[in-house]
Amino acid sequence: MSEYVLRTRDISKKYGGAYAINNVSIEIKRGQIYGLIGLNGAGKTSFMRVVCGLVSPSSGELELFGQTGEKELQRGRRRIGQSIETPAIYPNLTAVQNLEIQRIISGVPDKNAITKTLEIVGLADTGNKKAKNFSLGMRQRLALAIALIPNPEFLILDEPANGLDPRGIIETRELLRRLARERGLTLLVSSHLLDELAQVATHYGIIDKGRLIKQLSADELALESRQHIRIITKDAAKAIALLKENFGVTDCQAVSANELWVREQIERTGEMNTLLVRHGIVVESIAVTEQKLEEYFLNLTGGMNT
Amino acid sequence: MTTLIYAEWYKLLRGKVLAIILACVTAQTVIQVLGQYTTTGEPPFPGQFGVLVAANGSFLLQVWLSAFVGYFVASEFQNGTMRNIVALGKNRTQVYLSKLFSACVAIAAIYGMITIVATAGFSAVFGFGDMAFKEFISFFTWHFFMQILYHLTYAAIITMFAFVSRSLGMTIILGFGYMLVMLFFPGFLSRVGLEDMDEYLPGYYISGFGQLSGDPTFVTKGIIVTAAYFVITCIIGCIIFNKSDIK
Repeated sequence: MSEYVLRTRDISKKYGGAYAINNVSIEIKRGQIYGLIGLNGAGKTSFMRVVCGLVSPSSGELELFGQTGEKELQRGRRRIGQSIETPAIYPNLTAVQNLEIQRIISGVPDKNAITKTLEIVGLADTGNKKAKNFSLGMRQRLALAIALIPNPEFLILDEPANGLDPRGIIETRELLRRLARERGLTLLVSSHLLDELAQVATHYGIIDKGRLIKQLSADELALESRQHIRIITKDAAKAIALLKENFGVTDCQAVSANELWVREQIERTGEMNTLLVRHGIVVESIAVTEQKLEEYFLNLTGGMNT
Repeated sequence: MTTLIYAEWYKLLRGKVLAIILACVTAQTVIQVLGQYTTTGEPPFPGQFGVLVAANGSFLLQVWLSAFVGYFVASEFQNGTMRNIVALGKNRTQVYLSKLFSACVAIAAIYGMITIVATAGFSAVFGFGDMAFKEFISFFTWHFFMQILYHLTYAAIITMFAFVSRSLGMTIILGFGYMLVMLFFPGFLSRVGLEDMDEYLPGYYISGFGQLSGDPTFVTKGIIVTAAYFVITCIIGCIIFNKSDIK
């Protein structure tokens, strides 16, 4: 059994002259919860479509459960559950009927799987209500149930918390954690709610303009977004030069023309402030803080480095 | 493939589209019967010939089928459920053929409903006729199954339109366009002296079967033309579907 559920090597998808995804290489091991982060149009959904076989890649290689090749990939996709973009449901059928269709197509023999799955996603009491009369949150949960019915080993979810209220977001988060823990599911999840994703994901891939710009584990992210000194000043470049010269600072980044972060020697914050002021640099704000995933992402996709 | 066909069967039974269309064709046929009854000067139409009514009204039958296939097939792309099927690793050719199966079942059901209502309706109004029972069974069976066979061409063509356009409205428009072409093309062929080419159009066998059902050459050619259209359309539709992206 392969250690990797998904491996892509330089996967690209081109529409006309533009790349939706460009040389994306991702590896997801069994049991990981991989968070795919990116702005709207970054390529997250396009990547998921390629993995699910909805869209053919223009170039690159795809490996699912250790297998490549057309027929092997098709067989591998039977072990995947997915919910990509808007919830894909039959609007004039009930929740049970929607799941029954998916159960039949997946070849799942156990009819009780429908009841169990509806209980898991909290839709057990929808009765004869047609899916078109569901709220957006209920449709999201029905889409998740449809993805779970084939009893997948690998779950691909595109913005699963989209449209959910705060309680729904928490329930979805707990559900994903439980699925990963109890069923050993591997998950690929994209989300705009980065701080929510941070509570679930074990690994991250950051996509920007079709390119994978960074992959890191949750531990690595914690290290990179660890405590730092945040200095707001009118002359960040001069401040950095002074800090390097006097404190030997090496892990330092100008986030903008007026803001810099120092990730070392946190205990010498006061001394740094004194030095800057003594050299005529107006320090508007200086504080020790931690970087959230959102800020880390924004800096990675739009910040300036030294 | 069997799971896909079983799922299509489930959707046909649980969904209301086919039931609504069958209700509409029932109403349409009843109106036709009443119209014939109330129109003076019209010769009586015995119920034993009810199986010919659908063939004579083939244009309307095709309209209903366009609506059904447009909804039943194209809407799977619009509501995203085609993603659920394809992402499960199902062979796209098998997915296509399972949808074609639905279209074929629908055409048989629509044709059957028109035939039953017409036979019963005209029998009630004009009497059944003087055909012996055994003769009727033979006549009915032959006409019923051959007409459904000939109409399978249209099922295949409209299914291809649905997969290509992925839109309910466009499927109906393309289907209507095809019907109009088939309606006027034979006339065009006559004008340019190519009336013999008529034999290569499926409509020729649908409309001519009533008179030529006993001609083995006619029937055989009809089967060949139907099969050719059916297979070629399936191949084109499958190729397009296999190569296209599903968003």
